[in-house]
Amino acid sequence: MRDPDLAPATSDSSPVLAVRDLAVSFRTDHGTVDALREVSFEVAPGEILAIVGESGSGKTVATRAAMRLLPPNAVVSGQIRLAGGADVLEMTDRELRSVRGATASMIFQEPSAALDPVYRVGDQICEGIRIHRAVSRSQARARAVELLEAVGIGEPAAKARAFPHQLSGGQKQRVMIAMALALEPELIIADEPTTALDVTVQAGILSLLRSLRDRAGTATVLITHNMGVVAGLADRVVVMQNGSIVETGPVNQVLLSPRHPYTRQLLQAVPSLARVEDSDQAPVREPRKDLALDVVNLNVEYRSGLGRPPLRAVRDISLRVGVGELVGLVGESGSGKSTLGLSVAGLIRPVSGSIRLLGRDMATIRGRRLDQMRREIGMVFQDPRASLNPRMTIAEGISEPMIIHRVGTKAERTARVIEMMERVQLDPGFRHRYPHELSGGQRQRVSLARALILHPKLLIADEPTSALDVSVQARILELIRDLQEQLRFGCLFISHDLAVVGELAARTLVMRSGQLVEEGPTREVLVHPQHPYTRELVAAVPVPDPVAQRRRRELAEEAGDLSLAGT
Amino acid sequence: MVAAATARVGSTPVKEATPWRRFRRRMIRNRFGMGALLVLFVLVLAGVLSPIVAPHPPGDANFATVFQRPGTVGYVLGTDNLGRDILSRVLYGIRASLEVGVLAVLIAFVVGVPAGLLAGAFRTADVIASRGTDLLLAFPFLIMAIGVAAILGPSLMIAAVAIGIGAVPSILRVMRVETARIISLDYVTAARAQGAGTLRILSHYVLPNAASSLIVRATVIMPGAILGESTLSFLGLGIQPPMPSLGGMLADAQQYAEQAPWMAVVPGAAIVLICLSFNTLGDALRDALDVQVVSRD
Repeated sequence: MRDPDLAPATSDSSPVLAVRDLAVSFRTDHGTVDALREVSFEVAPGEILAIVGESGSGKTVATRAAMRLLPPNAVVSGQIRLAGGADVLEMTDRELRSVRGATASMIFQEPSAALDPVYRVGDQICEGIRIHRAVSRSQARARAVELLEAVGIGEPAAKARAFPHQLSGGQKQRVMIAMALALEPELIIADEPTTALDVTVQAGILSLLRSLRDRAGTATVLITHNMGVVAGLADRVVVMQNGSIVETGPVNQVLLSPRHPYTRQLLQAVPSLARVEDSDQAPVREPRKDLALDVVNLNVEYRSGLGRPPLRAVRDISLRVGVGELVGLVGESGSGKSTLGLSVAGLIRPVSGSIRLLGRDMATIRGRRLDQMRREIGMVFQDPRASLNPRMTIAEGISEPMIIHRVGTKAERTARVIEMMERVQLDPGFRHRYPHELSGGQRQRVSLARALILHPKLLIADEPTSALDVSVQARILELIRDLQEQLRFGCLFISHDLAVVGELAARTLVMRSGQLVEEGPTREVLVHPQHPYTRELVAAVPVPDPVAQRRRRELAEEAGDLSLAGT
Repeated sequence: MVAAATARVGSTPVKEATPWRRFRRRMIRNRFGMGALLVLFVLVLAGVLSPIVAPHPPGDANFATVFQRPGTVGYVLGTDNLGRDILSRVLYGIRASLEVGVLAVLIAFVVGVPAGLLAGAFRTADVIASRGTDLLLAFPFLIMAIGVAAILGPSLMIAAVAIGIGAVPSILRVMRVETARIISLDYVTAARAQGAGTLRILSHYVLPNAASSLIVRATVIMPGAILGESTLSFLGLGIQPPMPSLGGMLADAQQYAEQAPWMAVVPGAAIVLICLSFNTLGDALRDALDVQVVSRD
């Protein structure tokens, strides 16, 4: 680690990264596609610059170009200087290798994909050091352990000998950061470093990045779509849309008084806990009498191989969803929330407990009758790419449930498909297209149409918006709310995002390690959480307001700090 | 109101070609693939039309014209030790090879696809099918073919059956892996949640999505089957004389390698050409089809 006293002053000196008139286009089957149009920005030493934008805005392309990591079909023009050196775009491969990792290094979104599973993490850190520096193996090892300690990994010497699969997601991302820091680069490019992580883990990684900047003065380019992350970490913000920069400025100015309409639109689309606090929604304690779903003492287990005890994914959970009620189910990865959804849909057989759908016990009916019951359940999944059969047209996909349950004639089915497509605000003219011709948001609309075509009494929505851009997410959430009012189905809305649930659900359940830890009216759960875990969750959600974020951070630090707890 | 609402939605529809059109464009752009397709088209045409286009009956021995060199008038590719026209015999041989190849692939599909579907979908079926393929793979293909030929008597059909059975594990495994992969995808879960039965899932979800992998696999098996036929005929276990086959012609040529090398070169070149074309076509198909499976978002 660089000595803090020797860290460069943030003021003068030349920028660590200077990008001028950078334009990138890709040659594809469909001709040339412009990804970036004449983009210019700079990063000062010790500065954290956030680049925000939705998918396709060019934020990743811009930073990959800075390391010359673009695929071979990219056509690049402009100028990129790292630490006042030569133009990256003109470097020979040898020069380029000496810069990569040493002057600037990268952190990626998915730490489990970026680490090599067959090498020990300590050796992976050493490799980068030994490529660039003439040090002995044992010196490199010592340095690796030192780095692991610096990124807040407990027992660094032991963990250096671990393989990636023996570490948690948060630990893996810390290892990635350690690798990025190994050669004391002047610039770290972090591409969505916390997107794949749970909120409580994310909070720790963000405060690590912040403290690294404070301690070592490493400049950081942070690519993210999450305005809350920006608010908590960045000094300056660049907002990108369709390959161009639409706004730049200090974080407070961009987030609190945005100038460009697109920035405003982005900020408005971000679901926010603050809005839950302000809402005057009447608290709903118990669902009404007519229950769509009544789950009592449900237990679900997964077998985990001979001799080992089964994994108890859902433990003794009871929940109710009234007809026309939207219940939010919140939990982090591995909490069992999706398993609960699947067993309610009758796709995983529970070990014990009962699931009643419209008053009928799902466990006692089988065969044909069970298939009939399935008409009353619709499901929507997270990944818009995987949730539609690529070989069926939109119309075929949406009418599948009617064909399965032999509903209507062909003409009636077509009429209903068109009606349903209009309800989900999709152009019925799309009905002969294939899923790959639609955008992510449009595909989720198709999924919704398919799930609701038979007017089921229960919709199970498993993270239906987490793979979407915020502005698309906002519209899909609005659509779900409208549809629910029109069609009066009960909805179990599963999400890891407290703010999303806060916007939508009347009642909220919080799950952790297969158990319900808290349950109540959404506003009470999110504003006055009772259980310590819920409190931790709520505290970890980044809010898109730099001032509030700083206040919360200070409070958390006073209260003993969850950041370096080792996740 | 609906029109206004629709206009608001998402980004503009992505103007992209249908999967078929994209496949065709990628295919046409692949020069090697198109070359292979052209060669195969000519070979298939020649094989199918061999009774019409062959200048001589393939079995016609003529002792006045033995060992004619290629280029001789009337015998473009020369004659063999019995004075038979090599061009005619190769044309018939190609026809026989293609027949065996197609039959073998069909047999492999008829057995391998349903078995692979079941193995991918059901645990018990998987155990049976996987042990079955292990057994089949452990059994030397030639020994099996010799055994079958010995019991039932050598013929084109027997060769095709033996080769087809030998190719079953390859198809079965591809189908099994694809089934297991597709069944775990969200769209299948969604269909199951809505009451779709196993039969419908296998026929409407798994099979159409596995089709491209199977097509590619077929083009890989094809040259193997044709080589297998040549091997069997070379050993005298395939197509029986006087019916010409490429492998049989190679066997005849052995004794006269010094005197009349063209007797081996011509059928050998035909085998190489067929197999190379199928392999190249398989590569091109894989490139053209793969992309569509992993669609860009």
